[in-house]
Amino acid sequence: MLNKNKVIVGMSGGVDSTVAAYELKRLGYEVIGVNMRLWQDDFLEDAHLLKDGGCCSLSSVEDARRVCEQIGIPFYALDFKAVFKETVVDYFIEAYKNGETPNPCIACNKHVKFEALLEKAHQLGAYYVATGHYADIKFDETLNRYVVEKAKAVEKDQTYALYNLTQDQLKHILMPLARFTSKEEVRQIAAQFDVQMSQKSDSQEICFVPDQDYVGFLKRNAEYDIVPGKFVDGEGNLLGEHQGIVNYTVGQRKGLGITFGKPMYVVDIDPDLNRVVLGENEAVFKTELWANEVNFILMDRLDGPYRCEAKIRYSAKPAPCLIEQHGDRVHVTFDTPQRAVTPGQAVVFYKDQYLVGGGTIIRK
Amino acid sequence: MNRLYLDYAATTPVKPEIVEAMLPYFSDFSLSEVDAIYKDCADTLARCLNAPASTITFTPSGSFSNNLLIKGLANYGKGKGKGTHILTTVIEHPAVGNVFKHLGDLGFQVEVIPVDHKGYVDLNYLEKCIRPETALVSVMMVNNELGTRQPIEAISRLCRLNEVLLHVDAVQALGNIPLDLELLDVDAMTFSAHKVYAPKGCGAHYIKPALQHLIEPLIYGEEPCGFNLPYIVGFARAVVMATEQLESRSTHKHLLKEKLRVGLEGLELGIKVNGNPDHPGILNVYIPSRDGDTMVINYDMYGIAISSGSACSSGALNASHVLRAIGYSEAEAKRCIRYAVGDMTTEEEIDRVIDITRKILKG
Repeated sequence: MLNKNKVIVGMSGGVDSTVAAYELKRLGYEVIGVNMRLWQDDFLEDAHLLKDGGCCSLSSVEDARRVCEQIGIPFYALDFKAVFKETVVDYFIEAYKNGETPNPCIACNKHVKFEALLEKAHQLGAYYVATGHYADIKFDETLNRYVVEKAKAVEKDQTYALYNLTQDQLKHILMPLARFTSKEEVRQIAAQFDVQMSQKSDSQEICFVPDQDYVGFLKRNAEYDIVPGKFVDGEGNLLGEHQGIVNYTVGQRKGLGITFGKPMYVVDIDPDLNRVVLGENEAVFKTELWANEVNFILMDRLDGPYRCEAKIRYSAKPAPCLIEQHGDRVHVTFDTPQRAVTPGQAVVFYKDQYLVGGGTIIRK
Repeated sequence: MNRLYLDYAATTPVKPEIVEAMLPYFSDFSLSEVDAIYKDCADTLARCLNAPASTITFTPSGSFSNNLLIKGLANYGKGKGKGTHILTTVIEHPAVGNVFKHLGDLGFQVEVIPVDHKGYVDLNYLEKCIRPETALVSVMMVNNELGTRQPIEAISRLCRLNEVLLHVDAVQALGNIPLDLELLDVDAMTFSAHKVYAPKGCGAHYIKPALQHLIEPLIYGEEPCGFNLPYIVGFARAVVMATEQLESRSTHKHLLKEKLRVGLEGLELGIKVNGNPDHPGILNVYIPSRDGDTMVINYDMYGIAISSGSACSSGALNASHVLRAIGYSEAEAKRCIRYAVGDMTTEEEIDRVIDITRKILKG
């Protein structure tokens, strides 16, 4: 029998997870802090580049241990290296091979934090897993299902990375930072503990590429070769040589290595022909997209066309659109053209404050 | 909550008798006595192990001795006209395995011998591996995770026959199974104090008389007055006690381990014993429904200390290389835990462990 008063908190030693654990303890839960040991790039470890990295750095174990001691909860480190490598790192490497721009945080939430960690929590007799995410999970009596609302601390809202959560998972997840209206409030509570107050782990940087050089990472860890190819225009006319498709993302202007006398942007990446299509600014805007690997939170699936808003990247503003499900795919039509619709990134749907669901943008 | 320790294969608490034996040597002796006391302790160990006098050296740890002996013997063998081919097993402790890796980096040809599903070295395989240029074989006597005891006598005969040097890591064997160096006829053997109820920070090794002074030291400039005399005295006292009480202590541990095994199997959850635990206290089991790490945490929350794999690999959080070596997949290897009964373990403690295991697994 799982204990509904027992909760496992993923602890990085940072501000958010520390306050999440503290809040739960304050609310009377039996809280157990767990630091998730994740896969690291040996090269960076050897070069000592991981020392002060993000949430997955080596020092995070000791940071988390110290904070748990201060809060007065037990602390353990658990190994998630294999599952992280398989579901996050390998996916990341494969996505670039396919000309996509991956979102490893979403993969990690889906497979590691809310699947593998939840499984460990259950093995420890705990009903709940909690994280320091800014999002609000509620049970809606009318819908008879769990729903996710945007965080009250709007500027910190992390629902974008949580659209994959299933009803079965949501039942077992607590996100105690939901009640805070700003990060500042959270930081004030964290100040009583010996935590890393720096903002760096907040950024969208990739925890297993702390030096930000993902191309270098791919060179070391991918089993495929990064092969130079052709820049072409929309009609297929040769514009120049590119350094391998993994170097580019849709909407990119800088770092193309050639000048054209007018601003040129990456419009499309074709992995089959190893080509990068360039175009002028207006070519980067699209009104439509397709997504696969779709998950809906507010409903099991769409019955018909559905009016809502959608974000095509973490930092984007939700834009009004009409979405329609076709089998396991979703077609999205925006009211106004969107800049840099990027295959591999997530499109996430919202209705007012509710997280409706989302999927992975595909090339077609 | 009373903590219950059931991880004696990782390390042991220091027995009060040992503490008592050590205490005078922190202060009550003169520097002129150091040599004599050291020699006395070394010869005490030698006597307990049925080895000639002056064959035992004390070191700062078992890992230190393993490093010194393996590097020293490999280089000596090579210098004597043997080649650079050196052999070890796939289930060694990192204190041996990593020395071989290092020697491999230095240009030695390292060959690693597999074990069968119980954890035993295949003698036929080993025999086939030995070549004219083989300089050294290193095999651990009792595996720290499974408790299997290797057929050292047979391995030793094989090495003699082929004129290959043999080193044996007996850190987990000392105090738990009979050790007779005359019978075993190995070239060198490693021991550690903290596995036999003496303090951490003290090791020892045996080197055959004919090889004395032929092995290059690990550190130059050691002076006798630099010895950690109290620990050496404690170690010697511990080995005397372990030798005198070997039979009764082994029986004690074996009975309690059997009680634990029967109790765990009685839960009818498919728990099964890994390897062939010749060691009287080690019981490594596979639990189908739980990961080793969450079991260790569950036990810890009830105040019971056990480990998943060896203590060292628990820290590193990798699946045990030993369990992988006896044929488990990575996922299966992570569903294993090791209990290790010790001298101080009581029947009540075993009852409590079985009871709590039932609570953890059956709710």
